[in-house]
Amino acid sequence: MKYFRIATLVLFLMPLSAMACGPSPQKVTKEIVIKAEPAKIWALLSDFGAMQKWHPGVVAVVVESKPDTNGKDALFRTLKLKSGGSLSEKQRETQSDEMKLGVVMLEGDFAVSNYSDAITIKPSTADGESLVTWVGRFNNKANAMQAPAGEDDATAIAAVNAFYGAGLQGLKSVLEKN
Amino acid sequence: MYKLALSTFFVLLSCHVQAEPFAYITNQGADTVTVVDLATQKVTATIPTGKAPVGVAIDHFQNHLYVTNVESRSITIIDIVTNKAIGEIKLSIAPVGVTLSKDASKLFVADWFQDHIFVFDTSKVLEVDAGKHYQEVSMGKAPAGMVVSREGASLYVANRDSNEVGVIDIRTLKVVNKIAVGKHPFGMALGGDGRNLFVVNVESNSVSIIDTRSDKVTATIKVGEHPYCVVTNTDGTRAYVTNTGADSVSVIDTKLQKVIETIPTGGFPEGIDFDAKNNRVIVASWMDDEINVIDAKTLKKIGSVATASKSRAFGQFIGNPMIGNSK
Repeated sequence: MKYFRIATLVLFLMPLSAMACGPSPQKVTKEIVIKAEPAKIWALLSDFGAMQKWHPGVVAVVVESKPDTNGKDALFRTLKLKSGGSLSEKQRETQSDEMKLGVVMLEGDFAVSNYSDAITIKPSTADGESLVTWVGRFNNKANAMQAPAGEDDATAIAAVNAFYGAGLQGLKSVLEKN
Repeated sequence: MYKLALSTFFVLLSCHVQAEPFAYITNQGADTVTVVDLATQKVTATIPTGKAPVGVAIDHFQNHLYVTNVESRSITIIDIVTNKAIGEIKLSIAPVGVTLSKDASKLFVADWFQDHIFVFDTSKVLEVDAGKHYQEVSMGKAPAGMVVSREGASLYVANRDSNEVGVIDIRTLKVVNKIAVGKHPFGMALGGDGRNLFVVNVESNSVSIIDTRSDKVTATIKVGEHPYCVVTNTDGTRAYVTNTGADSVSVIDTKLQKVIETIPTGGFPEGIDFDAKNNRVIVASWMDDEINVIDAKTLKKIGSVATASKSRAFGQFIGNPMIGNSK
């Protein structure tokens, strides 16, 4: 009886996961103050193939320039992760006069779906310091409102939080060392 | 006599103040609507809603604001004179897109998951069991944005996952047409003259223009990355499109049928509406929790107002509590 109920529930939930993009995306924002001029941070962050230089969770990056699904030239990269998996990403369009960049994640070993992000660098209140903000938008891995454990919102948010936390700490220690 | 004169004075004064438009911004992450006075660009109220509010529609006859709550599966009804929630329609579906018939007698709600449009009688929406009384129209897959034609006879629905715009005869509630557009149509807007319907194709990075007299696509215009919503100016000579993937707004010259300017905005711009009184474009930024104010003449961003977490404002979100009273 119990199994029957679960099966019915699964059937009921199936259409929910068939969506391209869920109606209720999640958001994670993390900030860090770094003792470095914005331009110095930008030089490191804007190098699309250099994430392994500052993110401790990334061991290698392969960059490729090719047309996207709309035939427009774009930069793609594959991040090889320390944890063993990989992430495939496309660079987002950004305004060149702002210190802002971001990616859209195409696929990868990460507990999210429909992921895109933006990193911005702004001068901090103290002299020679900068504020780096990393914001992500994503759905859970199941891309469903009632997602199974391990593919739910909490898991997705925890994964992004951990990735941003380690990345921003890594960025800070690399930049403040030199 | 003195008292009467004084109160008349205050009524006139308040009319003058309230004649300015307000933006009603849904904050998906804060479960609120932020009310922004567009003349002063100041927040005048923050109204609690259900969980994860997304869509908005304004009934200027009854001064009601309808807000779709995706996660609590309900619609919050707000009185825009008092800025207080006065009711909630409980649904079994996850509502996103919402709009009203011309006379505001019907409320159309798009069901994201079960491919239906729910039609509510607005004279009964405050009743306890309002969520149980509706008519249904079976639609294409994942209905999203909706627009009522200028003369009020047709409801256009962007069926995102069937890559088409469905046309419903509002009187008979029958689907009378389906128009193929680009990939994943989402936000839509009717041009100022009522003739052209602008449809944003999220995955094609384009806008389709449908001539509503023939229900045929007459042009397709490339815009920025991952566009979402669109609005036009009062006479329909310009269309403004939010590009969520490029953090910008594309400005289309609708006669030349091409993008003439791209304006940087806050992160992940979603909802967009036109402030006709001040000739400005108002954009909700999901990433930066703010609205951006763009001067429609200079096409420059002239200000921002902080809202709350995950601002979306999907639909026509600019309104005024005095418009209804003057009708």
